[in-house]
Amino acid sequence: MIAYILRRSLYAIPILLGVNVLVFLLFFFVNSPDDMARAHLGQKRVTPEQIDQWKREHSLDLPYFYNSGWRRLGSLVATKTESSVTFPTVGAGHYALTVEAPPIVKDAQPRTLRLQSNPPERLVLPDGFDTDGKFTFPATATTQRFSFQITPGQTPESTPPTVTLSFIVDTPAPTQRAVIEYQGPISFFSRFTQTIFFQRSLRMLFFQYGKSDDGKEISTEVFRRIGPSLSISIPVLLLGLLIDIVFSMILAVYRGTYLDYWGVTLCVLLMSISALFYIIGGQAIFAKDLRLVPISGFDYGVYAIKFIALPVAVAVLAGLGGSVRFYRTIFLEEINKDYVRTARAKGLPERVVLFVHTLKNAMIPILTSLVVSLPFLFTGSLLLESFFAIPGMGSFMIDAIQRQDFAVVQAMVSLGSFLYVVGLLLTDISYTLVDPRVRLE
Amino acid sequence: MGGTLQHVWVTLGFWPVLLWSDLLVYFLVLGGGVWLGFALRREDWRVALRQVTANRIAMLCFGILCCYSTIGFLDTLHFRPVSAETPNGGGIRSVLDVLCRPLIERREKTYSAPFSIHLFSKETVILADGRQVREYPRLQYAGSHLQDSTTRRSDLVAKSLVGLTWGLGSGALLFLLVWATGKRFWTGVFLLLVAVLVAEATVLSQGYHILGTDKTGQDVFYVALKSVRTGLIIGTLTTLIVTPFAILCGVLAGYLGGRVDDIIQYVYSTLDSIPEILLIAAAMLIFQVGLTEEETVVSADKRLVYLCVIMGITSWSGLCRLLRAEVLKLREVEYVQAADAFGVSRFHVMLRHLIPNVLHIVLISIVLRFSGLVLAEAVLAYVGIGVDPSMQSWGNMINQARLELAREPVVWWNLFAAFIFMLGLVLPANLFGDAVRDALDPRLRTR
Repeated sequence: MIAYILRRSLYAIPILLGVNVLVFLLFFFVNSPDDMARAHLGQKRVTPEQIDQWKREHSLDLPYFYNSGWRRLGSLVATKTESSVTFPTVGAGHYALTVEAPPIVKDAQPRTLRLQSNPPERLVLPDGFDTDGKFTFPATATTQRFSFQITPGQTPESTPPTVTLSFIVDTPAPTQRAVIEYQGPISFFSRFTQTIFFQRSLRMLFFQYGKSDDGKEISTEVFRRIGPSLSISIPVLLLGLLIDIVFSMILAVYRGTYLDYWGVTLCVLLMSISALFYIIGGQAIFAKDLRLVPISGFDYGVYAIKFIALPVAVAVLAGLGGSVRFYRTIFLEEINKDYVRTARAKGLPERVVLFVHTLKNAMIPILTSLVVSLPFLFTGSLLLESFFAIPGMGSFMIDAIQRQDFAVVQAMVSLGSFLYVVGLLLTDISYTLVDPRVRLE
Repeated sequence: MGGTLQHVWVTLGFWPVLLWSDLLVYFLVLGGGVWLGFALRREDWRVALRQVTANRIAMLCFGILCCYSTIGFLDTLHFRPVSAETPNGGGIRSVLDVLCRPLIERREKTYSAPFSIHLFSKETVILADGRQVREYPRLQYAGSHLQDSTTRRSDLVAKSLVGLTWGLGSGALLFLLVWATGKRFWTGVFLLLVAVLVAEATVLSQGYHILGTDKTGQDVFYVALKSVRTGLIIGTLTTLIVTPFAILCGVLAGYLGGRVDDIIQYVYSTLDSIPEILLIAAAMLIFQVGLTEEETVVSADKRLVYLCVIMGITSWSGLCRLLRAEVLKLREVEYVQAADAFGVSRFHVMLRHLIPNVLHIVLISIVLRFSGLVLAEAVLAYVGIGVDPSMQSWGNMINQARLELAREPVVWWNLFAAFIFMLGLVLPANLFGDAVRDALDPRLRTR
């Protein structure tokens, strides 16, 4: 048994990994980090600096899968005919200067770039630069990358040397850009962990969800919201189960009669109404007109009861049709089995046959179908929580979707797939517990 | 457009437009025809068909579904009006828009209740003698033929009597026609009722807004009619787009087994383990970022098709799983074993022996999935990841109406219209789906 559980848990790993990779590809490949930054900062009037800044804040300035150690130090955009910027370096080491080619050919023009440092003797200029540190590009230059060095100083220094980069162009344009990168020391593990994939995706497998776009820690938020979600979903599950079984037993007892026929038809009718109407109708009648309960809101402790009464009632009613019909089928299947005929043949009263023999056996498929949904009690209900303003997981998700907060959606997908896998495992285990005929191997 | 062709369109006054979803609908109709041809040649399908047609409630539901489909199909025939002044055509319209032209053109200022001739909110009106009064102003179009607002009731009665006469007249003709061709009494009665309904709606719509107007003053009846196409497309295309793929994967996994089976099972368990709504949300969020600027109708249509594909991917795994299980059973059946023993190629076995014998499962799952998808559309619209807000759909109607519930008195007719139209589609679809399932696969019976 334990060996089985262990093996099943191992099977779950490729599935969770697959979900992780899929969502990563969806979120970070379909739109490049630049697109995401632009979408977040607003399409118009975004400077490359703002984009870089946003990407750094969301650790999106890293490479996708493999970090070779090159990191961006800073960039310069030719906004004036002669623009320059000074960066502090990180000390001695290898640096690279990338001059981007303008994306439109007609923007191409001769430009001059100048690289200086303070103190000047520490700088080893790239090939092709004159002693003054200048380099002139022809009009048709493509993107070019130069490497240069900062040599180690004589004595330990308090401030690292600085480099000054100047751009001299005829017509300033935001597409004229030069970027300075440096290659820092990087450990073997960091080569893989300092990447977008690890930082923004793989970590979620270990329940490290990071921060949402508004800077809140996602895992603390999740823990805060599980309580309200459970206070709705557990009563819905228990009350729903009880009511559904009672009604479906009644239909099964009176099978083949008009009560059964119209009961099932009523179930189909209930199934055909959108959950939105149950919620809106419930709020309009019980909260707005009759004023029995507040329309929405939430409170902790005993006072929660007046807030959760209506959502629970609405959810039970909304699920009634489908469940009663499903359970009725299960009961009918059991009623036609041999052991029931044997029990009747023994002369047992119909009451005992139905409520002892049939109910006990019919509970096997019902309970196991419930087990798979147990983990999802934690995620709550999207619609209910949103309509009734309950600060649970469901409203967290819906808010994240509406605010387009990719980090939270990703975290919820990760959590959801984990719960799903747990649910499947629990189902298999519960089969062996309630039905000794099923053996796991 | 070529010179001569352009001339032809200008003479005709329109220029046909084929949107992505239109193309898929035509494929669907074509595929349905091919399938029917296939089904009628096989005895097992003919038996099932007879069983469904013998079920009176199922046939009533089928009739209602046909009415919805007609509305949806009329709304699928898109074109641009072309004239000598606008040789490149105006905005995209559909045949349904042409039929509902009075409904589109008579746009009021804002909300008005069904059959009302007054606006829903008070406005300052300047009287003839220059005084200013706060009152409910008369609507610009609805009831404009009435001099005095007190005659509204008698006018309504008169108009509905006219509608009833027209309806009964044309309905009686239809009834006689059906009766004469095959003594199909109930079909005749159904057609009679439909005729009365259509005639009433047409006559009453001439003078009033029979389901009121929405916030922008648009006729709610028209919006609800336009939403029919959206609902039908989401309900049918979603499953159909991924069906060929699901059949292929399910049959391959079940028949070939081994590594192929492992891979396919891995793919669908991975997709299954992502919560459905979050997968749709993730995909729709991406679509929003990469949105291009086009004509609203075109981009909204693209989004609709995209939504269908995404929802299809989430429902793909269920069908694939069912088919795989069925093929696993079929693989052990004598005729498949015999074919294998005779050295028939695997491709041939799948094509001739396996796929035709799992098609009933495909049909059942399409029919049973339909109503769930129509209902899901409303929820997605609420979350903000459904069809384009500019596209008419029941979900968008509910979503807009929800914001007005706090008003006193309540603006109820938007919700009411969406409720009636949705229930009118989903309930027959559920009942019809059950009948189809019972006929095709009695083992899955719930009744």
